Amino acid sequence: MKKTLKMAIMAGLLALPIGVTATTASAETVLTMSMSAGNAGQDSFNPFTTNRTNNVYYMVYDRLVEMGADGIIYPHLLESWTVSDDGLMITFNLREGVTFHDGSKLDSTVLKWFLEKLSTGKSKYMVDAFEDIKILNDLSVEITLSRPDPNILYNFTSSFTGVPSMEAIEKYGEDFGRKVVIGTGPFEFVSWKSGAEIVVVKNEDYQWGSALSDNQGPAYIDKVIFREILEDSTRFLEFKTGGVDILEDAPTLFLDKIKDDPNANLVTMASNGNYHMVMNTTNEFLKDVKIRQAIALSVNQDAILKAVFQGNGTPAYTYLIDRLPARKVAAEFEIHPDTEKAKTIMADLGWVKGDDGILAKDGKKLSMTLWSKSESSERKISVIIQAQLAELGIDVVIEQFDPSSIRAQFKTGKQALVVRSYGWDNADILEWFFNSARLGYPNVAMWHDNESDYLMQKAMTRSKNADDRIVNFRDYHEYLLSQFIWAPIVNSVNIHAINKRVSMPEPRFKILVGPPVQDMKLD
Amino acid sequence: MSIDYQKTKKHKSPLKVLLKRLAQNKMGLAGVVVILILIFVAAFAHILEPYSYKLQDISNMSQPPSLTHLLGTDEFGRDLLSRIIRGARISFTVGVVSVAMSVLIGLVVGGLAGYFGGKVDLILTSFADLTWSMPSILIALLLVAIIGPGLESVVLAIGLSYWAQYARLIRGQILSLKTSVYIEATRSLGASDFVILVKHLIPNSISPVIVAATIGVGNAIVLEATLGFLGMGAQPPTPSWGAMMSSGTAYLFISPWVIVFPGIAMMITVLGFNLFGDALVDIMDVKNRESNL
Repeated sequence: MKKTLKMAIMAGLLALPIGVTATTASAETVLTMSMSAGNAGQDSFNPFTTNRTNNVYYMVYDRLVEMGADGIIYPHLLESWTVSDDGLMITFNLREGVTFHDGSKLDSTVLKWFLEKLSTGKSKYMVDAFEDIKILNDLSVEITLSRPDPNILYNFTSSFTGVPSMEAIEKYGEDFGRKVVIGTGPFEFVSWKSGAEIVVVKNEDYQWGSALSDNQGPAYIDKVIFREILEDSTRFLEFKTGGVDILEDAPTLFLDKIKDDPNANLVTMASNGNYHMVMNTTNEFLKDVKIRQAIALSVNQDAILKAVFQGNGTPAYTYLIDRLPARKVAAEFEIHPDTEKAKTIMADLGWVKGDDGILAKDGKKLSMTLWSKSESSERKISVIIQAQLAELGIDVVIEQFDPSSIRAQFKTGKQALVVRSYGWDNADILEWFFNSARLGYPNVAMWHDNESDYLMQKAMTRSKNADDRIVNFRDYHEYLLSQFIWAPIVNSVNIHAINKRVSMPEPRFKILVGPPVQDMKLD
Repeated sequence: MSIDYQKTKKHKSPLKVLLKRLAQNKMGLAGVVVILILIFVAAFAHILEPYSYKLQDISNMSQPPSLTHLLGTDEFGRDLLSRIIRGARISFTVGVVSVAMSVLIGLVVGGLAGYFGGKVDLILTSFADLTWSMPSILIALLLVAIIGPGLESVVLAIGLSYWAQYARLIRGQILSLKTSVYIEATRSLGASDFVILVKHLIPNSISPVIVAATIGVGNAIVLEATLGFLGMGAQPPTPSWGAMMSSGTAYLFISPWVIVFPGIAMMITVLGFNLFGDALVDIMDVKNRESNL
């Protein structure tokens, strides 16, 4: 009987999971942050070699320039810059007195090295137009470009272009980015438990906050802990019980509850999040653009927006977020749900529904896998899409992966359908995901098409000015949409929940986590 | 005479004795009722479920229990009762099949080890002990990680993680039986090792295994739910109770019924198997032998 009771209790315990909260009590001021699921699974903090970044990059590294919430680019490590009239000559002037966490100095030698080193890594495209970099004096470099590049300054606001220490990279080699992370940022890297937490402490010597910060000196907060919590309800519970102070990308499921919480503030910022379903264009079925079209037309964005995001956000009909000019494609290219048309397409192709409701042709059933991360939103989206595609007659088998292991899987090319998301506010994200030079990851769709690469090259390298660039990217975008490589799903909102014990000025940066932490105070 | 003889024999039928004793054991009877209901629900799930278990209705998501949806709906507007009914089939199948697999492996390994003794015993017992020294959840997780998530791999994983206890049980039984007089007699009549083992030793040492297996089904159901909870079991839309509870955790404060009802279903099921198992211990009088475990 004892055993029986034990078993019954065990079964009962499974029914009532109990959230365990961590408590931190000490004299130092500690800010605990729950990273958004999209930020989880970081595998390196070396900006030259990484494929993806998270917000810790914004804390330990400074960038040459910063993007304001107003869309204007502000100086940071650069004190000033000049661009020649023909756009082919740029001068960068560094701020004086900036030192790295290892004590080395930021000067024009380091800047030249940094700009050259970028061309060896994944951000190569950012400096492709650079022909020559000349050191003018201790703090200035002159860059000669082979062609005008209207996107250069934007590139240097990105988390991929934080400036690391030249000395440290040369000294630590492979260990840099994993064991040692050294930048000039307001916070120094202390420890990293992969999949659990990242700890940074304030840089006492910091005196070079950007013009957008009230506080140019060392941060008021001593230590920041980034916690990697995947489950939305656990994140919410941690926030509610004080285990975390900031809930980056608050789960939409709990927004109403957070609104009612007297200890919480909600801060809404310009969103750059997009959810979509990738189709592997080398898959035996998905290599047919007609089948891809039928699938894309069967995905009902509104149902997903309602069920997964509680209506917070907008349905996505293209591959870009709403406020980008290249998003405004001709109406016929937007992908809106049309289940009837999808069924007609499949019927025209000769696919017939069997007794089991699954389409079949020549004795072969239309069955494929749908991958997603085990993170809440993407997992839920995959369950809804499974049902929506069952309506069309496709047998979808869901497979879930750990956030840090799914990228390795993409390299195998075995994926069929994949629910994914990205956060980016520039049209060049299209090049990132559809350039045939990056098959597997980030080109999860394994998309290889000459017309597409031609339009991409044109948009990336032959845009004379900002307006021309918009037109070229719109053309590229329209072509990609016409090929139905993704089924667009939702453009998400960017709402953070912040405990009232954290005080901060109105958001001035386009991001919350990073330079804005400079001005945050804890009660 | 012959008729009388048969009557006498019938009277002594072990099944009848068993049923009679079971009828006197109220707790055991309750366990049997629970198990019978579970078997019925599992067998006729496709008829019993009021809605299709995979039918999504986004406009009716996270609805509390009502007359249209007796146990409410989940985050996709699917009827929870229908999913629990379908889940019964999954739980029951996984429980029974995986335990049957464990018992089979256990019988072979334990039988050989106990009967032949010596080096065979040493090697097989060491291997069983090795398996037993690791928590079964760990072995199961490892196996699922290797084979990949899914219902079949869960069955295989559970089957391969629980066999050691049956092997030890059967080995102990055979060790004590193989020197008994009737086995000596059988051997002297020229029976082969195989016949002795399969026809005499194993049938005579099976009762504690049956008891352990009954309780084992309960364990296996919990393990299946645990793996499902961790996302390694049946993949959506298949409604495993553990997976349902796992997705329900996100909605604990919004629609608690999504996590509570599958939990209750599992609790009752496991309790049923354990009550029945406990009753069998009393009825078959294997308590002393079970302490050989």
